[in-house]
Amino acid sequence: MSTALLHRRLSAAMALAALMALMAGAGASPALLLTAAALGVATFRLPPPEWSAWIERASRLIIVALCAWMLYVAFALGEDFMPAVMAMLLFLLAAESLRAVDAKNDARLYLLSFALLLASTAYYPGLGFAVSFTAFIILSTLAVMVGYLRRQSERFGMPGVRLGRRMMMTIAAFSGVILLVSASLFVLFPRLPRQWNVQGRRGGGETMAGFSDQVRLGQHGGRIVANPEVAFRVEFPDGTPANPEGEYWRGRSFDHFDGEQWTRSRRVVAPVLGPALYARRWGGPIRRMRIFGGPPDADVLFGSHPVLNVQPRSAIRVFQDYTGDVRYVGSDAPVYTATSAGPRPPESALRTSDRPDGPLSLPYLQLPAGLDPRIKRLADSLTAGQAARIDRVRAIERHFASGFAYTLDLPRTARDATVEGFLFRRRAGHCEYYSTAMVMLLRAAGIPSRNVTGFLGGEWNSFGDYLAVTGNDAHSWVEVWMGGMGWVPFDPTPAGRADLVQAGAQDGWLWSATLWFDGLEHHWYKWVIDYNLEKQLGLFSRVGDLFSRDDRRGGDRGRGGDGAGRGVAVVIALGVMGALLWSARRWRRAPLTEETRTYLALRRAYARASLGGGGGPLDFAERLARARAPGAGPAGELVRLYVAARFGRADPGDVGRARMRRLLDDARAELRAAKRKPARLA
Amino acid sequence: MNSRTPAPTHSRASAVRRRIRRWMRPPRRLRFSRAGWFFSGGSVMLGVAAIGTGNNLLFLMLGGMLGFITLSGWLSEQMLRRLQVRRRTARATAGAPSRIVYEVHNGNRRLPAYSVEAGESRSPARGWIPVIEPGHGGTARAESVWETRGVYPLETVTLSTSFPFGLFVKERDIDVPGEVVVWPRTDRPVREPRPAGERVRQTGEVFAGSAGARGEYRGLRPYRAGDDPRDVHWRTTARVGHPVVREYERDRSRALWLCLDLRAADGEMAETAVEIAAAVAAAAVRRGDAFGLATQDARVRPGAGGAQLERVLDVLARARFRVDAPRLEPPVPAGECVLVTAGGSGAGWGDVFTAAGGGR
Repeated sequence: MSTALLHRRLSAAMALAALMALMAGAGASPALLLTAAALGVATFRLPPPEWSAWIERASRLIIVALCAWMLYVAFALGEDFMPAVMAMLLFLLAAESLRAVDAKNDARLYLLSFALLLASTAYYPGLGFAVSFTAFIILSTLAVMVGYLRRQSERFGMPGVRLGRRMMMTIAAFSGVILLVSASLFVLFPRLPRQWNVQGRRGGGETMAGFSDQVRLGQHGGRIVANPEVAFRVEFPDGTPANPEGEYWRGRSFDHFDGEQWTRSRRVVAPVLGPALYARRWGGPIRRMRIFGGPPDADVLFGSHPVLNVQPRSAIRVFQDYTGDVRYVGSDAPVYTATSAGPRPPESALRTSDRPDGPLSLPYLQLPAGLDPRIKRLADSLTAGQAARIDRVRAIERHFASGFAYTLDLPRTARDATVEGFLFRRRAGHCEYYSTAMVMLLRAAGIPSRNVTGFLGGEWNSFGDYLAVTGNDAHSWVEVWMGGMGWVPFDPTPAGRADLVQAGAQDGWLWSATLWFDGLEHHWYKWVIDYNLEKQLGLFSRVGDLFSRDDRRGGDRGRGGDGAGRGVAVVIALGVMGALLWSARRWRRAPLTEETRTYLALRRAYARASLGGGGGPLDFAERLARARAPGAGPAGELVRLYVAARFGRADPGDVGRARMRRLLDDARAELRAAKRKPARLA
Repeated sequence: MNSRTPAPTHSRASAVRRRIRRWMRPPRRLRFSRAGWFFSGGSVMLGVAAIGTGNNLLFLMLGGMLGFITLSGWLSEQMLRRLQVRRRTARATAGAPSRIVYEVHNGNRRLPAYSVEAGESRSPARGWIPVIEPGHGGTARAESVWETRGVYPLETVTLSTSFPFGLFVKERDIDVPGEVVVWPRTDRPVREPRPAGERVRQTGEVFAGSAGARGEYRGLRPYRAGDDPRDVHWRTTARVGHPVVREYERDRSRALWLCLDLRAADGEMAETAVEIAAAVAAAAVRRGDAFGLATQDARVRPGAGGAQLERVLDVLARARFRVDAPRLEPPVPAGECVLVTAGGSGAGWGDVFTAAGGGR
């Protein structure tokens, strides 16, 4: 293969890697796939040279058309013209890669590929970017190097320079240096505080089926389809709880139900309890949860109720709205630490928390017009004889524990797809039916309550030590205003839900592989995409801790820290040893003259024959002579020449060196001869 | 690659300057190529963008670009560090392309040296070796054009490489003393010399036994550069394994004595005089005439053929004009000699070529 063809193929493959990086973020589109096909053709089978002129002529026309489109979009329509720019970029890349192999367009190909890679970073791509970036570095190293040699050979009029496979492999291996520098700079480059960053990444455009800002009953026919897509990930910096898969991740609350849909009233201010009161009255340990991401198109943050504090870690602004829900604004993906009180208040406290409801709780008694009177009667019958609010709530909650079933099948008729249909006829449904029915019964019984949506549980990912909360974990439950204890959650949905929502979707090796990949992706987002000043300082601090000899800190670190410290010490020791060996090798090698090498070869030859021993050169020669060792004559002469050259600083010249080599050969020959006759050696 | 080279300087001040420059010379020099400027500028801009946006993937890309720069620096050093160089020069002619050959040896035991350029320091002429295997050598040929005749001292060979990406040029200077002798041009149009207004007269000297242009057959001898290929004795050449030529007694009765007067100021006229002398000598070779050269500083006994021309051109290359030069003594009576002068009087000489006359 000629250098020019090899260069073109490598350049096209490099552009293909950049395109893959773009696809990792922007997804596949027809334009991207067409460009990929053109680059694939350029990589594996370049079209004949006569096509080049045709491609060039056609390119001019298309470029003019694309420019006209861009101007029209920008100035006539006043819309975003970036799609036109991207189309132009992709088209130019495809056209340049398909041109004749001797076209001097390598710089253009490099620039266009680089621009594509640069554009891909705006999409905050996932792990696919890492793979594509690695491939891009290796291929661009080879392509630029081959291109350089090609240009040099043309410049000096020496065409036909051959590039061996070994050379290519060596250069490809050298691209490891580039990747190493890239990773090192990434970790070590000082980051600015996050407030400096005004731009962030946007969420994906899809609406996840699992969690929605809307709660609507009345859908009928069909079945809810499983959605294993990860909505967000949760780390527990204070230690993993005993049952992380039983945590409720509260999101949105709804106050108004019109018989079919839950909504949030604009002017309703919910009764709230301050974080300090929640912490004091609910008791239990204060728990911190580090949450990465969130469902697309949801401006709400999730946390274990009651959320006491939210510390944003990405470029978002967090606020608590009038209902007490934690929401955010900002184009960045939410990354935050939520602090929560104990998961449930003590039962005794709930019993003594009855206080008269204030006017703020009145909206939470709203019932839809035309509500079936049977619901009121059922609520009265369930709460009859109960005085304490907690007992009345429990009685209603218990009502769903028997005789009701959980199903993902939607009601078959519109009549069944109502609260009445669920309570009195079908007695089966998904979580929204249960929570809505319970709220209706509570409100009918005069207890302020609201519907809450969020997630229940998740999948513990042992590869990344975090909880992956998926679309399948979307859930709906109830919060009841308990006066002195604030809003307390109750879940009427039967326990069989978990088995049903996980069934089929999260089994087998595929799910394990998905979890493993999700773990990798989590690390990518956490340590690459979201690498910031705080993480950088934390990393340096941890490295510093490993070297610290402070006993107190050492004590705090515990066994894991000691192990890591020992590991680092071993790595350092190995590194120092390696460096010493390397420098010793260099020291030994660098000053060796040919005379010295010949002399050392002589010593080695006699050492292999168990003759000679230690000592200096003259001792060695004397010992050989005394022992009448085979080859003692030439060896003695060689030692004499060596000593004169080494210590007498007499340059033996080429003749002397040749004589030394001959003497070495003679000594070796005599040694070999003696070896064949062992009696002489003895 | 052709390049124009300035005239040599011989002053003591310039020698001191060269010595100081050599003493202060850094072990390596690094220059940006045009692509290198663009690449480095792009890296800076990417760094600013990465800091401004906080986009970590831009930091990753910035790291990649700096990785390219690091690899460039490291590899180019590896390519140059164990190289040794020897120079072979041939005679050059002023105004015509000539080559200097550099034999470069790679002392590295593992790494080949890729894309090594060799040339004289402060001269843009470079030869290129694509690859030198470990422990092996390669040859680079740098082609340059020397503007004026003279003896040019060569001091330092510059080895350079922009491997692997062509972003930066790393240079290493190695002292390799030498010189290149640049002959004067021989293509200046000149008339045929007419000593004493006619063809060269017989000088009356005894020339028996001298080697030179075709006369009586004398014997065989090894071929020397400039010998007439027609004189190669092929049978003997085939037998001994190297070219052997027939040698003839020279007929020196027709020898032409060229006398170049160096008593003149060094300058354009002096150079013209040298070129006229060279052109007259070359014309004599073309005609098959024997000729000799006499100046205040050197004398070339009469002879003929290419080898004689080389001897004469060597003397002409080294000719040094000065106003205080002694009077030129002709080797034979002046009336039988052809004087070439930069501007002096030609009274008493057989024929006179003046620089002002341009060889006509």
